[in-house]
Amino acid sequence: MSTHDTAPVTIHGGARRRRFAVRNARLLLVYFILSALLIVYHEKSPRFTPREARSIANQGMTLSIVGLGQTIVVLTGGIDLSVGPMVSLSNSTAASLGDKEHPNRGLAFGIVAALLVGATGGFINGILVAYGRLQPIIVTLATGYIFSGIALRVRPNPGGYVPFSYVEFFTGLYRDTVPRALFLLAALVILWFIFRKLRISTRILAIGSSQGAAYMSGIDVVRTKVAAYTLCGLSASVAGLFFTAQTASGDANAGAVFTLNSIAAVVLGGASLAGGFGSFIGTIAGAYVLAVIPSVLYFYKVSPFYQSFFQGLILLASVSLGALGVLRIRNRIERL
Amino acid sequence: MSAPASTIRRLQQGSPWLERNRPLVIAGSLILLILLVAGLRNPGFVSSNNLRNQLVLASFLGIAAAGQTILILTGGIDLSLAWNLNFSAVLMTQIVRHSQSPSQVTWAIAVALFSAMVVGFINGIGVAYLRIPSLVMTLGMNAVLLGLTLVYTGGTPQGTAPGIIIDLATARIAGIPWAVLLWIVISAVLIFILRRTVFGRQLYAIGNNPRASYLSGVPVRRVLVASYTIAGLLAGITGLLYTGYSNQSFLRMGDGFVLPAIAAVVIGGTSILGGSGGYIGTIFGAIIVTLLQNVLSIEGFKQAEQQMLFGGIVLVMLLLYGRESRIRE
Repeated sequence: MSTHDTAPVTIHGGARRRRFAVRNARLLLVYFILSALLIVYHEKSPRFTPREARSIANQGMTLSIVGLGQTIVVLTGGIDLSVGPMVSLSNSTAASLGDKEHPNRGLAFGIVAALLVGATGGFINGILVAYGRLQPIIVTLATGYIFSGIALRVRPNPGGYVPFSYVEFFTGLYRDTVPRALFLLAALVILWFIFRKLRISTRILAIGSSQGAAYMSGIDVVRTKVAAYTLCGLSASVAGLFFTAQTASGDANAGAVFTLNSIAAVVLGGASLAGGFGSFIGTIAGAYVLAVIPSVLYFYKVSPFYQSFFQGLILLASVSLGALGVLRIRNRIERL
Repeated sequence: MSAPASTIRRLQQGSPWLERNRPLVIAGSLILLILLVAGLRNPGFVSSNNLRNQLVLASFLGIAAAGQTILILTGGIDLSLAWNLNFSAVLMTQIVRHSQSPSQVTWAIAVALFSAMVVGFINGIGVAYLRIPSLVMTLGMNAVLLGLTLVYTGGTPQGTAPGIIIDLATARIAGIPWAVLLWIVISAVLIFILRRTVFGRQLYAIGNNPRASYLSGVPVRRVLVASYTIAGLLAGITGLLYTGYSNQSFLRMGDGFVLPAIAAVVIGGTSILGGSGGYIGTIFGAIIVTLLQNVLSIEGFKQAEQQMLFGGIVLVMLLLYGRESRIRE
C-alpha cells in the first residue's frame, strides 16, 4: 500500500474510507468478533434483560481496566507480568480494610490504600525497568512474586468484608435498566481520549516506536517509562477494586488469571507487542471477547472445559489473520 | 599497528574470563552460600541423601528450562510449557490406563513425546512463518492445550505412570538417580550443540540479529522451527519424568514449571533479549531455584514469605548482571 497513488489534493470518500479500514483493520476485526459473539449469545438468550446486560458488562470490566494499564505499558514496548498479582493485592487490601461497624470509613480507607499500593507497586516496576535498565518481562515477573506474597500476607485465607452498597455501586443497575459498569467503562474511554491528547502519550508512543530516536529527540525516556508503569500499577489496583465489588470478598490468588488474559486482550485489540502501536479501544473489545466466551458456551450447553480452548483459538486465529499481510510481502528481509 | 579496540577494552576491564563468566561465578557462589547457610542451620540438609533428592528435583526443572534456554537464546520464550508438559503427561497415563503391557507403554511414551514435539512444531511455524510474537503464539497455544487436556480427561486424568517411567524418575543406578543421569546426558548434548555445532551458533546469531543472520545465509525460519520443536520435546520429557515422580498425571502439574524455568534461565545469565548466555548458567539457575524453594520451606517460611524472598532474589541477581547498556542512539 503505497501512499503515493492515493495522495491527490482531494481524496474522494471511497479511498478515504478504504484507508480508514486498512489503518484500523485489527480494530475492526476485534469488534467484528465481539459482535459475532454477542449475536450468537443473543440467539440463545433472546430475552436480553437488563440483568443479562449487567452480567456481561461486569464480566469483562475487570479485564478491561487491567487492559488499560497493560496497553499503556505495551505501547512503550514493555510488558507487565505483575498486573495479576496486583489485582489480588488490591482486592485483598480493600476487602481486609472493610469494617462492619463503620462501613463508609472502612470503604474509604480500603479504596485509598488499594490505589496507593497500586501506584507504588507500578512506580517500583518503573524504577527497576527505567533506572535499573532491566528487561520488563523479568522485572515484573519477579515483582509479581513479591506482590502476590504480600497479598497472601494481607489475606492468608479468602474472605474479608465488603459492604453491599459498594457491590451495588459498581456492579448494580442504574434505575434498574443500565448496568453501572458501563458508566465506569465510559469514564475510562473518556480518560483514554484525554490521555491521547496529553504530551505523555506522544512520548510513550515515540519510545515504543524507537527508544533510541526518542532519546535523541530529547524525550526523557526514563521518566516517561516510570510514569507508564505507575499508571499500569494504578489501573491494576482500580481493576482490583472493581473485582472486589464483583466477588464481594478478598482472595490473594484470585487475580492471577488477569496477567496473561490482559496480554491476550491487548493483542486481540490490535496492539503491537513491539510497542508504538495500539489503543485501549481495541483492548476493551479484546477483553470482552475473552470474557463473553464462557457465557456463550454456557448458553449453548457446551462443556466449560472448552472455554480456554476457544479463548486460545480466537487469540491465535486473530493474530494469524493479522499476520496474513506478512505472507504477501515479497522481500524476505522485511518479514524478519 | 595500534592495538585493536577490543584488546584495549579487555585490558581495561581486568580479567576477561571473570568478566565473561560473571553470571556463572555469582550463581555458583550463591549455590555454595545457600548450601552453607542451610547446612549450618540444619546439617541434615547437606546429607548426601538429601542433596541427591534436591538434584532429582532440579533435574525436572533443568530439563524444562533447557527448552526455555534454547528459545530465549533465539529471542523467544515458551509460555506453552505448562500445558504442553501436562498434556503429554496426561496422554501417556490415559493410554496405559487399561493395560501396561510393554508394547502399550512404548506406544504411550511415543505418542506423548510426539504430541509434545508437534506442539513445539506448530509454535515454531507460527513464530517463524507467520511472525507472531512468540509470547503471543505460546500463550494462545497454552490456552488451547489447557482446553484440550480438560476435554480429553473430562477433568480427571485417569491411569498411573508406567513402571519404567516411575523407575526413570525415582530409581538409581550405582547411587546416581536415573533422572539426574538423563539430565547430565541432555545437558552434555545441549551444551555440545550450542557451542560446537552450526545449528547452535545459528541460534545465537538469530537471537542477536535475525536480519543479519538471514543475510549471512542462516535459514532463519527453519532453525526457529527446529528450536521450537526441540523445546516441545524437552517439555514432553519433563512431563513424563514428573508423572513418574508423582506416580500419576494430574491437572495443573505444569504450572509450577513455567515461571521457575524462566527464572532459572535468567539467573543463569542468559539474556532475555536473546543472543547471549548458555545452558551451563541455566543448570546453575535450576539448582538455585530448587534449593531456594526447599530451603525456604524447611526454614518454616510461609508461602507468602517464600514468594517475596524468591522475587527479591531474582531482582538482586538481575541487578548484579542483567543490566542493559545506556541508550545512546
